[in-house]
Amino acid sequence: MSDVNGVQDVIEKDMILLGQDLATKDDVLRLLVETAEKNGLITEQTPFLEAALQREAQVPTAIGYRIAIPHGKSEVVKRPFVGMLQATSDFLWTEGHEEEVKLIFLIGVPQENEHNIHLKFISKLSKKLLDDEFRDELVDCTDVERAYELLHSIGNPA
Amino acid sequence: MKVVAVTACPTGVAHTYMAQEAIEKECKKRGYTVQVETQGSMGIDNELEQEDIDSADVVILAVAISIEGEERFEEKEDGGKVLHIDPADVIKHPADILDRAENL
Repeated sequence: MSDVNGVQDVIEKDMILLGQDLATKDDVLRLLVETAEKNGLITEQTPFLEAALQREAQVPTAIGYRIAIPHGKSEVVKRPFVGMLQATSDFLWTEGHEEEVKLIFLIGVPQENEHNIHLKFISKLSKKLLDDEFRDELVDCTDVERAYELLHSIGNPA
Repeated sequence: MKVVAVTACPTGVAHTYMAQEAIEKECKKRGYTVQVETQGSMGIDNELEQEDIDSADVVILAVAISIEGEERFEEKEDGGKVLHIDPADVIKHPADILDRAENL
């Protein structure tokens, strides 16, 4: 637990992928999940990918505002984390639905939950995404350091 | 105008709290009093007491799962003052949802 808000544990620079030339949900999720495994956040890709896709199948997670927040709960998740992918252009998140997205936040949570501090951060991030200014800056951001700084700032007391 | 609401979604990590934020933001914009209870993976936060509910003009249940303490809203339910919606709807269209709640 590296700081009081658990922020550094939840958002890692390596999990911020900017300017990705991808235009389907599958490609985006695959890349994020692969990156999560590389960074030791999950022990195995397939079960987590399946959990996220299953959640999508219930109700797609595009929430308007050019954002989707796919998420999965799985025992292969070691601790709660958030990965962010910024696509080069807006694309249709789910066939047959209207929402186009450019920013995708993949949220992973372990099956058993003893990580409230991390969840607290994820809830704060979720709320902050409704802030126009904050969101616009992330949508146009070309610098991982800056994106990290923005996301990290959420952990600061309001 | 006083609005109370409960938000809850299946995983309880993101939509629950975004819906809370969307409702609070829209209510503040309108100058309404608002209190939103969240039932998420961190448990129940900002729990609504019976008196909070009784004194509210309208109740918004932005829930995609069954919630704890639903019986608290029975009286408001009978009075036709409860709006049931999906959390995603209020995140996407907060103004429309508040309009609907207001017109109950």
